[in-house]
This record gives sequence, C-alpha cells and structure tokens, in this order.
Amino acid sequence: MTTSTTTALAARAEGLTKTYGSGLAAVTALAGVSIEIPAGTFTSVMGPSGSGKSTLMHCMAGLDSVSSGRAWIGAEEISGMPERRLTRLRRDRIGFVFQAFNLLPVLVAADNITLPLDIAGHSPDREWLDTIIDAVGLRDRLRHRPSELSGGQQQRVAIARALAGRPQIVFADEPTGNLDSKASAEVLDLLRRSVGEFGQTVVMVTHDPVAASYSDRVVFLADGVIVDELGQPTPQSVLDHMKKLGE
Amino acid sequence: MLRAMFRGLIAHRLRLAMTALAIALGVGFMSGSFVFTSTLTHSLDSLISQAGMGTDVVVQHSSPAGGFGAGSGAPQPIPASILGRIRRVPDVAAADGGITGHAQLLGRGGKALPGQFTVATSWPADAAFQATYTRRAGRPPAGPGQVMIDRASARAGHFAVGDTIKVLIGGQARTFTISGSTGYGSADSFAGGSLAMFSLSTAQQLFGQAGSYDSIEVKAAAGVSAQQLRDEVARILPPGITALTAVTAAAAQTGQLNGQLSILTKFFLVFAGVALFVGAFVIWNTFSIMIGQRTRELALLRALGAGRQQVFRSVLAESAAVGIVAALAGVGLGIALSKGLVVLLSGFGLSLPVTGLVVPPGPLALAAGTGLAITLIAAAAPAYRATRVAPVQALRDAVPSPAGFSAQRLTAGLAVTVVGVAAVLAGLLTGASLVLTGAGALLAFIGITVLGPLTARPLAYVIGFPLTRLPGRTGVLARGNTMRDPKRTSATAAALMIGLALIVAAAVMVDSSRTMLDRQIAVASKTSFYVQATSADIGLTPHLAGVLAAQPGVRAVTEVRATDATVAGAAHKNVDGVDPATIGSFTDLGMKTGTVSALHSGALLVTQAAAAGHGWQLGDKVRIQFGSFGVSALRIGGIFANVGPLSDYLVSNATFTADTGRRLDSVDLVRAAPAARGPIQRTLAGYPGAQLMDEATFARSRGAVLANLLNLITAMLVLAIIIALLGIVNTLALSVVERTRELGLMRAIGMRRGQLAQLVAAESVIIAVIGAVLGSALGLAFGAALAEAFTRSQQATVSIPVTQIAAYIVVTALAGVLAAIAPARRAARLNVLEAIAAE
Repeated sequence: MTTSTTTALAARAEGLTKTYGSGLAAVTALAGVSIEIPAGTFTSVMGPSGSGKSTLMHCMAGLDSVSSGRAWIGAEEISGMPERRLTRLRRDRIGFVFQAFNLLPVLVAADNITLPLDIAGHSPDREWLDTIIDAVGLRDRLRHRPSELSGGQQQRVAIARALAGRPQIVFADEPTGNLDSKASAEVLDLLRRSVGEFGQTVVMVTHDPVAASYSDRVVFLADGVIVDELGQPTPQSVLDHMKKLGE
Repeated sequence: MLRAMFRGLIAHRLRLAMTALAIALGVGFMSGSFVFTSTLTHSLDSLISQAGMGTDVVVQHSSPAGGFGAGSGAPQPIPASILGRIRRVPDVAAADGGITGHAQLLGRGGKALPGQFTVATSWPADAAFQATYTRRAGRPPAGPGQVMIDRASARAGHFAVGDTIKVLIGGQARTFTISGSTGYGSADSFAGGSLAMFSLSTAQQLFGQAGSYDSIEVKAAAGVSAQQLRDEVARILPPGITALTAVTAAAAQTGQLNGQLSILTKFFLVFAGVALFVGAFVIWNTFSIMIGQRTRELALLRALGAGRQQVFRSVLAESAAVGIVAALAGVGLGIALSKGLVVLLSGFGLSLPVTGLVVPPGPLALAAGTGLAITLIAAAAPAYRATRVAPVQALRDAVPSPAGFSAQRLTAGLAVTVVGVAAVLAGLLTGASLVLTGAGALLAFIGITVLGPLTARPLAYVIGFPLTRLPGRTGVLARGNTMRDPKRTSATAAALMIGLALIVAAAVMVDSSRTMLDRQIAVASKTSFYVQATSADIGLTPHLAGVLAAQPGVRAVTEVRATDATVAGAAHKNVDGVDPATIGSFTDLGMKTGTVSALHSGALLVTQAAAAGHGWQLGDKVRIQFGSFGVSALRIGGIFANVGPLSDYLVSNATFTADTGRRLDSVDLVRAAPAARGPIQRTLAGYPGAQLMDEATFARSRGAVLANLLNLITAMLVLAIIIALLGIVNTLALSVVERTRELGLMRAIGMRRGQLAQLVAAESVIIAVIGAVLGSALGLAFGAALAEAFTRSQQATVSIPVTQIAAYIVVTALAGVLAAIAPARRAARLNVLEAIAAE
C-alpha cells in the first residue's frame, strides 16, 4: 500500500475495530482495518457473509460508531464526532445508495433526487442536476413516484440523489443486490461513469464478482480484516481470487 | 394460538394501552355519571329524611286542584290560627309552624361564604322538632337581631358565638348577632348548603309572612299512626291547605328531585355515549392498522394451519383482553371522576348537595359491559379482515398497500349520509324528536366517515399546503404521508371530527339563541336600567322597588318575578310575574289579542310564538305546574308579540305569588334619566344581592345561562376530543413503526432528529386540522339546522360565531402538535442502522 501525499484521500480508516456485545457473547465484526480511499477512485469491498464488509462501510460513513481506531472523511476525523455533526456531514459530504428501500414513496423521482439538498436547505445547482439526470437517463421519469418505477430505475434515482450534492464520497451497499443482470449493468455503468466523467469517489460493498469488476480495485475482507487486494479486476480475476481465499 | 395472541399483546402493549385508555375514558365518564347521580340521590334522600326527623305529618299550602282563577284570591300562606286548631286535634302530641326561605351568609370581607345553596328557616320553638339540629354551641336565636348558623359556615368564616354577621335577604344585607351554631343530623352543614336560622317572629318579618306559616309540622301522640293523624288533621283544614304524612311528603320531594336528576343523568350519558362512540373509532382504527402490519405474521399462522375461525377468535380475544382492562380501569376512573363532576358543575353555576360517595354496582357493571361490547364491536371488522389474509402472503414481500376507493363504498357512504341527514332534519322539523335527531347524527357521522377517504386526499393537499413552506421538505413529506393512506388518515380524523362537530353545533345554537335574545330585548324595551338579583334564590325584596322609585331622576319602577315551571307538560319554562298596570310602559308587549289588564283577573298572557306552537286561542286554559305547589289551570287572557326582557308566559304578581308562594322579585325595571345611575348605584350599596345593569349588560346576563351551558357542553365534549387525540397518537406511533426503514433512510442521508420530529408533528397537525375542518363544516350544518328549529317558533335566528370556530380549529391544530410529541420522540430516537436494517 502506497501512502501518497500528492493524491488527496476521500476517506481513510486506521486500525478500525468494531465489537458487538461484551464478554463471552462479544462478536468482533472488524478486527483492525486500515484502508485509504483516494479521491476519484472506484473501490469495491468484497467478502463472505459476516466478513465485516457492511460494518466497515457503516463505520467509514459515520452510520455506526467504532470500538477503536480512527476514520476520516477527507481531512475530517469522524470517529468520536457528535451525532449532530455526523448527521450534517452525512448530509453534505456523503452520498448513499442502499440495496433496497432507497426512495421515499411519497416523493416523485425529482424530489427524491434533491431530498438531501432540501433537507439542508441548500438550493440545488440546476446545471449539475441536469447533467446528472441526463447521465442516469431518467428525464422522462422525473414526475413519477417510486412505485411507478422499475427496480433498476429506482436505483438510478438513488444514484442521482447520491451525486446531487457533489459529495466527497459515495457509499453503495449492494446496490445491485435486488436487480436482474440488465438493470445491474446499467446501475454499475452509471457508478463507473460517475467516477470517470465526474471524478466522483465511490466505495461499493458487493458479493458479485461481475459488479466488482466495474471498479478500480477490490478489497477482500474476511473475519474482520483485509486479506487481499486486487487492482484492475475482471470478473474472472475476482472469481479466481475468491476461490483462492476460500481454500 | 393463545400464546401467539398474548405475545402480540405484549409486543404492542403501548399501542394497546392507548386504545384501552380511549375506551376507559368513555367508560369512566359513564360510570362517573352513575356514581355521581347515585351519590346525589342518596345525599338528597338522607337530607329529606333528616328534615322529617320527629315529624309525622306536614301541613302545607297547595293550589286548589284545577284551581282556575287561583290568582284572583289573596296569597294563601297558612294562617297562624290553623296551628291552634291543629294543636287541639286529640291525637296531636306537638305541632309547630315554620318559615323557610333563602339567606346568604356573608363573610367578613362581604363575600358570600362557601355553600352549595342557601337555606333560611325559623327555629322550631317546640323541643319535639329540634332533634335534627345537633351539636349546638351557644343558644338558639331569640330576638330580632339574632341568627344561628351551621357549624361549617361558622368555621369557614371564622365566626364565633357573639360575633356579628351580615346576611343577604332579598338582596339586602342585614346585620345579625350570632347566637349559636348547629350541626344538621350527622353533618356540620345542611348537606353542603349554608343554614341561617331565625326566631319564628323574626323569620316571619324577614320573609314577609307576618301572622302565617309556610308549613306546620305535627307529631302524633303515642300509638297513633301517621296516616291516622293525617286523616284527623286533614279534616279540619280549609281548602288550599293539605296534610301529608312526612313519608309521603318526603317521597314527593324525592320523586321530584329524582325527576330532575334523571335529566342530569341523561345529559351525562349523552356525553358518555359520544365519548364511547369516538373511542370505538380509535379502537377500530388501531386494530385495522395493527392487522395490516401483521399481515405476514397472520399469513404465517394460516400457512402453519390455523383456521380462519382461529384467526378471527385470536384477534377478537386480543380486543376482549384490551376491552376488559379498559372497562375495569374505566370504572375506577369513573369513581374518581364523579367527584370531578361535582366540581365541574359547581364551576358552571350548578351547585348540588353532595355528601359521601355511593357506588352503585348494577349501573357500573352496565358501564363496564358497554365498554367491553363497544371494544368487541369495533374490533370485529378488523378481525374479519384478518381472516381474509391468504397464507401465500407470508411468502410475498407484503407491503400493506392501501386499498382503493370502491364505487360500493361511495354508494354506501352517500346512502348512509343521506339517510342520516334526513333523519336529523325530520327529527328537528317534527317537534324536535331527540332520539331521531341523535340517531340521524350518528348515521351521518358514520356515512361521512365511510366517505372520508374520498375527502381526505384533497383536504390533506390543501391543509398541508402552508406546511410545504417548512424548510427541509418536512412539510411536503408530511403531506405526502397523510395522503398516502387516505383511509387511515380519514379514520383518524373522523374521531376528532365528531367531537368538533358537536362543539361547533352547540356553539352555533347558543350563539343564535343569544342573538335572538338580544334582538328581542332591543326591539321592545323602553327600560333605562335593570336592577337584577345576583342569585335567583335570594331574589330581591319587594321593598327595594319603592326605594329605587324614591331616587332622584327615577321616573318609574316595576317589579318582575320569575320562576321555572312546567307549562302544558313541557318542563323548565320560565313564567314571569308582572305588574299589569305598569309593565306596558317598560316594554312594548305588542298585544295581538286580549288585553294586559286581563292579568288582573288571574289570566295568563302568552307569546304569539307559544300560542302558535300549542295551537292556543284566547280563552283557552293552560295547565301550569309551579314547583311542588300543584297545578293551576290558567285562562289565556291575551296573546302578545314581543318577549322583550320577559318570558313567554306572563301572570300578574298577585297570581304569581299565590301560585308559587314566592314573594321576591327577580328584577326591577327602572325608567329614569341617565343621571339617575349614580343615586341608584349608591342605594344599591346596601343591597349586595342586587346589580345594576343597562340594556346591553342585561342582555348579556340573560345569555349568561346559555354561555354557561355552552361551556359545560364544551367541557364535556373536550373528553371526546382527548380520546380522538389519543387516536392520533396511536395512528402516528403505528405509522412510525411501519415506516421505520423510511425514517432510517432519511436519517442516513442527513435528516436531523429535529427535522424528523417536525415531520411527524406536521403529519399530526394535518390530520387534526382535517378533523377540525370536517367537524366544523358538519357542526355548522347541524348547528344551523338546530338553531333554525329551536328559534323558529319565536324569531328564526342563525348566527355563526366565526372567531370562536376559528379558535377551535387553531386549538385543534395545536392539540395535534401535542399528540405528536410521543411518536415524534420515538421517530427521532430511532437508531439509523437498525432502522435501515428493519424488516
């Protein structure tokens, strides 16, 4: 791992541990994870169930507290940050895409996209919004409610929302977990393009080698620690790696 | 199955507690009314029986049965000579004449001493009738300047034997020396009332009864039955005076009081019924939402082999458990509440003698049973819906989707509403049949609730509009949420709608009546000042009219007396006594037929409206019952157009006093130059029981009874509003649980806790205002119909208290915020990660 002072970091974690419960019943989800996410890169986090990949994402995104270790978004340390400031940080500097249930059913697509900006009371950058809406290809669906959109379209709206505030980093938690392969491809392509065209930083948790192959590098987690890393992944290379790790 | 049910109960304990509270409040109100009236009946019974202690026969005045022209004779108190004749009856051991009236004891500051009512009597000279007055201190009243008061009043006013005390008699303050104090039976006071006792001759003089009695108590010689004694005494009495056994007299009094109490009981039960009806909505809605949320669980039970019957029974058993707890809690609450009712009523000017607490088991069981039955009925529909859950739904990702609005629903809703409204109108038009009107209102409420989902969406859209300006889109989201499930929103708002509709209807009705009163007075009155008694019981001494007439600037004064009577079978009608010679120069009666002077010969004048209502003609006989004084049949000697400051039925003061035994004025009408105000005011300094009013304040004071009634009705209906608010709390809390993931998502993408709380509060306000708006609209319609129906006979008036209704809506909106507190806190406290992961 190279520590570069010239490349800005979008996020960083150092010796993160996370333990649930206490005493004999204690379960360790993260056992000392250090990772750097350079700005403008697309990182996948992979690992079997219970490897701690979701926990890592939650801790790095300020959704969950850490037991020890430190985490930063940009230059700002979020470990130990009070809830109120964390909320504001999530709102202004982080974008989220979840596996399901990303959108508020009562808002039309356009309003879902601008929701974080509206919550903050920021007026959206129209030009940027147009750019995003064109990128996700949903201009004719903006006045539709989530229930009138397909699963893939819903996820694309969620990505548009994540990008709308020009966050420092986007965390995507199994964004294609509920989608068929065609819709998955569209969503992943969109995430890829957001990195390539807009210089967005994306961290995606996934268990799908095909999904991981869209990213710049893959970080493999097992039992709460990073066990391997792979640059320029292809579905085959990811699969090979997973096999190797499984042995 | 049972275990699953109990797990469900425990899991939803908070929601169910709210639901139980909704029913418990209704049951509490109902059982509280029962306890209250039982206690009151008991208090009065014991009061009446204590009054008769040592007495076997009571001799009292009565109007001659069917005594037309009773008014042509002189007043008929019992002449003192009768007492002597009674004493000579062989089987009489003792007999004593007495005077009763009203006298208000004043404290040292000049303010009335506390007491639920005021009684003045003469001290029985014969020791045989003194047993009731126990634990006496000092001596009985002897001279003209002495009074004996009850122990409770002495304690409250810090009076000791030998002190001087001011006593208000006929509105005039007089000073006496306290000769002693007394208990009454086992109590320190006269069943909560104050007692002033004077020597017989003093009482006769104070109450204008020189040489006569109000009643004579007779004690039988040993071995003579009360009935036998009565017959013997009755034989020597002249017409117009009767003898009753003490038991009969007490029974008659008790019967009359119970008759009045049953009106009070009905009054309370109506409100208890409203509370339970609203409570039923809350239960129905809560169970509906909970069934919706448990679709998967129920489907799983079905998939595992539970039959439809089992599902139905388990849901119903759940509601029964809630109902039983609620009913029992309600009964407990009711016992506590009954005390509150006494306080509430006295706060609205209705004082009652209440001692001790009587808990009637039968009526309480009825109240509890009603609560349980209503819970079961309200839960039956959701329970049935639970049986319709298909087992396969356990496997689907069952997001409870709000059912659409069907054409059947529209038809059914419209049909029920139309039938309800028709019943209301029919009830009002055909002589105001309350049962028909009430049933119609009930149907209309149900119909409008069925139609609710249709109106909930557009209403939420409009009402929520101002909230969309809230920063952070919370208002838009809130509005969206209330529009998401219009059925739920409308069911929640419906409960509030009912309470508000009734409050608004009452307000419109009362406002209309007051406006009518004002207009009536304004149209006819030629009076400059009104000197009115502050207390109807204490009244004004007739002597005051002469004093007023002697003041500089005063041109003329006339005395008006007033009483409550049963006229042609209709209870609680006002009958006024007036001076036939002068009344015409104080108010323009606008005689249609007959003459005012017909009053001189004992005739009755009625308003055109009353005559039209009953189909009376000049010369017809009208039966009027004045209190316990029997029935008079008075001939109609004239029909007049303008009620003015008087009432629908007028008799001469002579007739009035003869038939009521009442020698006090209610109001003196004064014609005077404006400059007379000062002298009149100064004169009244010696009459704390009299107040000087101009036309506007007099009109307002006449409306004050109505205003009090409105306040009482509103206070009663506030309970229904509280229950409806519990319903909002429940719906919101259940919605928060249902939308856990959504709320988690909002928190994840940066919504602050405060914003989330604001969101929930905004939803609550929208629902509350929907209820308030629907309720006000409905209330306006009902109120206008009621006002029209009730004022039509006199002068059709519909007046809408706009600011008052606006205030109700604002208060309801604020109450909506209050209802949101608990659910909003719950939403704000959600753990983001758990919320996102929630199923």
